[in-house]
Amino acid sequence: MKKYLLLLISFCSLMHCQKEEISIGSNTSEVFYLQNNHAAMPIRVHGNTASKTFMMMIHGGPGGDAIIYRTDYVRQNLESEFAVVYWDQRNSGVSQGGANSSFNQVADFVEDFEKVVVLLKKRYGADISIFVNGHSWGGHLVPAFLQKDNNQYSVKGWIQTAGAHNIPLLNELSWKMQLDKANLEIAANHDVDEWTKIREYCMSIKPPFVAEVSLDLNKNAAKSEGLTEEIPKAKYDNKYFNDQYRENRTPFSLLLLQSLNPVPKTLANEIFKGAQLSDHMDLIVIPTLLLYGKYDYICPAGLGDDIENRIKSAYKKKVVFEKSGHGMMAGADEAAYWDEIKQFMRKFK
Amino acid sequence: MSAQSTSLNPTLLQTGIKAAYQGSLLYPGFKLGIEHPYKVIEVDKTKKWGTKTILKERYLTANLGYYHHETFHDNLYLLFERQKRRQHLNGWFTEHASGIGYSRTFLGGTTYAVSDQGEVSKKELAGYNYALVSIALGAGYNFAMKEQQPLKIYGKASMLGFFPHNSSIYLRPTIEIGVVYAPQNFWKANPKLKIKQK
Repeated sequence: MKKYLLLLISFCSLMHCQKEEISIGSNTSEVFYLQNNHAAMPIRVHGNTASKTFMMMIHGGPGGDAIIYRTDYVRQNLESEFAVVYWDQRNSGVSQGGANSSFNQVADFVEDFEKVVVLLKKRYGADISIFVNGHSWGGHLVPAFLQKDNNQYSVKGWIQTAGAHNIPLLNELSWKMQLDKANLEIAANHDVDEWTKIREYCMSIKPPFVAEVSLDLNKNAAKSEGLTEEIPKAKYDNKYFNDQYRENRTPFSLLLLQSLNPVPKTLANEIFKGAQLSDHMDLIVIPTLLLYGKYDYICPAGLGDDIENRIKSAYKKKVVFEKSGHGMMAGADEAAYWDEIKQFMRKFK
Repeated sequence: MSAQSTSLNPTLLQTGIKAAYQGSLLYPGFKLGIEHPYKVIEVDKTKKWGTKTILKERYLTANLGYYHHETFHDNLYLLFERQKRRQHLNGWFTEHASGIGYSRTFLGGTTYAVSDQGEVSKKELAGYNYALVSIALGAGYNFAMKEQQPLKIYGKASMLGFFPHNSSIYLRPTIEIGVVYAPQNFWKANPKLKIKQK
């Protein structure tokens, strides 16, 4: 029996897959895993770990992935100065795991988040500065993390990128924005058929919205963004992102299946019933940067006003990008967006 | 009629040993196993020009597979298949198989656990156990049919399904190129033989 066990151990040593390597340098590229509550979540760290300043990219979804944010611009302009942490949340991206559907509440994601922060400090040093950047659903998860206990003091700053911190408010703002834009575009004779459908849908509903309507409104918001001519054509195409996935050895079939996995959808449905984090926003005192796209119907810029008015941070700044929708980090405002983040991180690291 | 009466395919009297390169498209791996014939149906079809004979061969297979997907996982699995092969007298064959098994993955990077008290520990050989299902389609050439060599070469495409992966299923396409060798003194097989005239 011992012989077989030794054979197995030797085999696994040969695989060399779980050897601990921690790089401190200006061009780090490594992946390690956090295993928690039946999920194993990959954490990719790219860039300048020697700077001791880390930005965690908290992806959208639920069920999205983090590596999609790693564009050429980020590599060249952010990773050269700071380290960027791409964490795939449970049941998202290329995370792995077993039967874990009973760990699918926002609180479970917050627990994972807390542990990723602890792990980063263990690996790279207790003195590192961490900034958290939540996009879309990630912009719900980040304030949920910051509002819990003393979590906010474990990071240096909060970057909110078109985050969904208050679903009832988001719905109301999105509904009004879509209706107003549809009226304008119809009057200007632009894409009249499409905008008429959007206007008719918006006129058929009224706040407060139930979960199903909330989800439909969200889908329509994406259509509205696609019709908005003020947003220039996307800089990166599907081929670009496929290359990114290939370079990061992403198993495509898993990515596809995660997007069909009912578990993240269950969480999304739960949030769309009306989750909101505005009531405890006054607990937040850390430096905060609020970034929104002017033509974002999915998470409208008005959400930033709600945060700005409630948090008690001595430093808070809100920026609305004029040529952007929901994805300002990879569109026409890409440089302006990342410049704001770099300045914020330099100031508070 | 017993299988021993056929002179068409001597490899049917032996259990074959399989060895294959099995990659999941971009990532390397291997598969080792055996295929044990348990039934052969000889189908003789009367055509204008004579009789066309094909053999419908049925096998049970047992396989040990492995692939390495850098930064994702290493996967070691046991797979038992029921394999159906359609063997032509010219040596070429097509086959399909379905199977069930067990898989153990090893995560593709250092893995940590963090306790509720904030203590970080490294987890050795971290990974997951999964149930495994598979379907496969393939084709190959049997050297026993013309050259009387107990050797087959084949190519095969499979879809492996691991569950419960994230409470759902993880599908992994694989391709396989391998050989089957049936040495004379290895495990004797005694497949049932049926003859059908059409």
